[in-house]
Amino acid sequence: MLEIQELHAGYGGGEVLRGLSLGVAHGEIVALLGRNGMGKTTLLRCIMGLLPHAAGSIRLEGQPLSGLDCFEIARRGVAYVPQGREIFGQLTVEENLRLAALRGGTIETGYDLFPGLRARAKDPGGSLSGGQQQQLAIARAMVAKPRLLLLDEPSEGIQPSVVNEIADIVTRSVRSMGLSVLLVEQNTDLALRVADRAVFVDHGVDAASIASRAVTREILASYMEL
Amino acid sequence: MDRILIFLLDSSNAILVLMLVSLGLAVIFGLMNVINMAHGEFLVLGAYGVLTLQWAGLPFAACLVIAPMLVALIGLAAEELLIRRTYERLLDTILATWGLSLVLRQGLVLIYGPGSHAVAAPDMGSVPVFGEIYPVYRLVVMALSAAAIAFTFWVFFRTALGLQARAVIANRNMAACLGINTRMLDRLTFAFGAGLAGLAGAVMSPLISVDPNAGLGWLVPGFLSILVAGLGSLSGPIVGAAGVGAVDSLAAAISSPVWAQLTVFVAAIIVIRFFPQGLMALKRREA
Amino acid sequence: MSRRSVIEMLVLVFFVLLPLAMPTWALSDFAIYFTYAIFAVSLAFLWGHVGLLSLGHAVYFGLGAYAMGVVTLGMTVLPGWSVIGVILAVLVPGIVAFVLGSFFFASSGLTGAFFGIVTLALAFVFERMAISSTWLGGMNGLMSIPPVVVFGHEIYDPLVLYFGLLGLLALTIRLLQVVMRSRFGLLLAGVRENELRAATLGHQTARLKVWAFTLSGMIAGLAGALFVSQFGFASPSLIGFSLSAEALIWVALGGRSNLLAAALGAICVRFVESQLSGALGAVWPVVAGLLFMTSVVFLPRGLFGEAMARLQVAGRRSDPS
Repeated sequence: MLEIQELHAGYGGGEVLRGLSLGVAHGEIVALLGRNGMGKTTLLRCIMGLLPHAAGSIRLEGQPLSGLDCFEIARRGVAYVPQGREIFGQLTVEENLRLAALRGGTIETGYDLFPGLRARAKDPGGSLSGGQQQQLAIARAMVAKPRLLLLDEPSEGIQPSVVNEIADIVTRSVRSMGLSVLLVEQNTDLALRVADRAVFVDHGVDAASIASRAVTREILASYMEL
Repeated sequence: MDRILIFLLDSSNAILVLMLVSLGLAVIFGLMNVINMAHGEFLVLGAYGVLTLQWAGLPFAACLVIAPMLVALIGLAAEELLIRRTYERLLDTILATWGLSLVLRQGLVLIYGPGSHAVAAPDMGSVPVFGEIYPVYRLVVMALSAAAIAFTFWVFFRTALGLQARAVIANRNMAACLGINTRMLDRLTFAFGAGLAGLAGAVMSPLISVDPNAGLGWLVPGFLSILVAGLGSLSGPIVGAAGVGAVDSLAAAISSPVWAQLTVFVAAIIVIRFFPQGLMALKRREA
Repeated sequence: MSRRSVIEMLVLVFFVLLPLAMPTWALSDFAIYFTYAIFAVSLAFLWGHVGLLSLGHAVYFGLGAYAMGVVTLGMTVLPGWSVIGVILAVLVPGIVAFVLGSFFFASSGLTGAFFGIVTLALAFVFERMAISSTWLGGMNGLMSIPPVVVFGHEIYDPLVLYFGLLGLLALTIRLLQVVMRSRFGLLLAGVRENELRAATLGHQTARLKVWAFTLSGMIAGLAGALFVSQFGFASPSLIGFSLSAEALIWVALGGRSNLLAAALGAICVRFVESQLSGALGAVWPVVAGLLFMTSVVFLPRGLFGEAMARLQVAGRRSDPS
């Protein structure tokens, strides 16, 4: 459902993505793995339209996304949970969710996913704990009823026990809804546990695509260690 | 006692209108990071709008409704043709809107001549207020200004549009990621801010001398109001305008209007210099 | 000789030869344009080089103008000599700029748009004070200010004025260029590019900015003094909002980050204005405003600034040395 071909992109003078190609099938969870600075976050920003790409193509269900504004890409069913969560700290939990529900969808989806949020509905998003903020960011993405979910470092800065709980809930929900997911995650154990397939990114290109079960320590070591 | 009451009423009048002006400036700055130097001219356009519509034979009440809308349309055109091309360049928004103010001002000179015009005040008579006779129209000005301020708050805090605007103010990129059309909001915001200035000009038109250069006298106090109280919230311009307006009225009652204005400006500059919350807010946005 | 100096020399030669092709009466007009150009250069230095957008720069021009007028009209206890007038016309705006600058910039200080708005409000304040001061002639200002006297001779011959002011303009640009290339100037450029970094490197950025502001104010004051001694009167319009706005237009249209471009902007706008205002009348300010907006949007470096930048790049390409 998502096809990326020969993508080139970067910031200012430096090129970060140097001809990356990637596909995500319907209902597939793909983990993007690789060392820091290899272009994983850049790729998500390109898909979302936050960063223009210099060459190559991004297609969603066969439709090109190139040149579309970020909001149009969002309206076509791409939801983004950015690194650092970027919830609206001054807005209440409910307002955060309502923003995503303005074009179809209901905030109940978010509360059903993480019932703990309901008790904090009237609190400002900024007053939540790190784990709850991450729940809110994911709930906000799911409320919009996306077809493709982009998750950037969802476990960053959250206690391990909470991470696993969130991961289980999200995986179950994504599976039941048949969502496609592109996941960037430093915690490779977690990433490989939830993903169907791992794509290793190295110096801005896709170096390998391997089913999660087939990823061995040696493979991990060759792409992840310095 | 009676003089004090009249003074309080007159001051409230001036303060409420200044609030309207500052609110428009703050809305535009908050959402778009644009310093609108043409805001005073938008106000003057509102007054000229009433003048023109009155010449065309429309009743005053209709003028009050239509003139701000026309100003909002002009704001919309200005945003599309000029202002959106200078986003991300804060100082250039000052220059671009400054240029716009020059053009609008001279445009008014060309069309209406350099002199001042008087808008016929609607004959509403006077009523006793706590035992003092006070012109009804001035009470109407206060009511309309207060209503417009309340409406602005309602839109911002109680509607989906306002929710989206607040999200854009907080984090433009993330708002876009949720499917919010930030361009559309920019357009609407600028038109809305311009419309608020237009409304201020329209309601004040019978009480001021309508001339092309009247805008600056509103722009500077408007800016000082929002800077004094600090940026980043809608209540800032309200509080700031109350302060600036109150000091102005008090000083004017003691000395002359000219010295009052000087007092206010100098006091505001000192406050802006030494109270960092406003400065901090701007620095955050500039970063 | 660098490509840049060649361009500067050519421009100077052009203005030296220009009187050959001009009627005498036009010479004094150009002398006035050169005076405005000195003012424009003071603003371009502050805005383009230090990154401080002053929306009320006419305050310092006007202070210089009034100081010159007050002295040469014999309104003070001092002898009404031109030289004393000029000295005060540089000192008074300099001191005011120093005091205000210290106030603006000390510790965290005003930056960006805040600085702009506060300077605008100050222009308002100064204009109002000039209008309400009876000593300074109120609305009408000071009239019959005499020409500059040098060694007992009143300077009013158009040709002398033309070359005198052209020389002063060239000298001012040269002086500021030397300043910009000095250690002080390089630090100022550092403040413009990244004030925080300049500060963390241990430079007292506030003091740098105060001195830059003072220098700019002194030059603006000099321009004001030269202006009134040619023009004959000083009025509140010289100190306030409208002249500040005009100067911004000259500098933006000419080029904010190049002193010569800013000077050419002032000369050109004033010249075109004098040529067209007859035909266009009140439409001219609208045209100027539209041009100004267009240049802000499409030519942030200004007309001459853009042209010179391109010439320099072209020169570098064709000439590998």
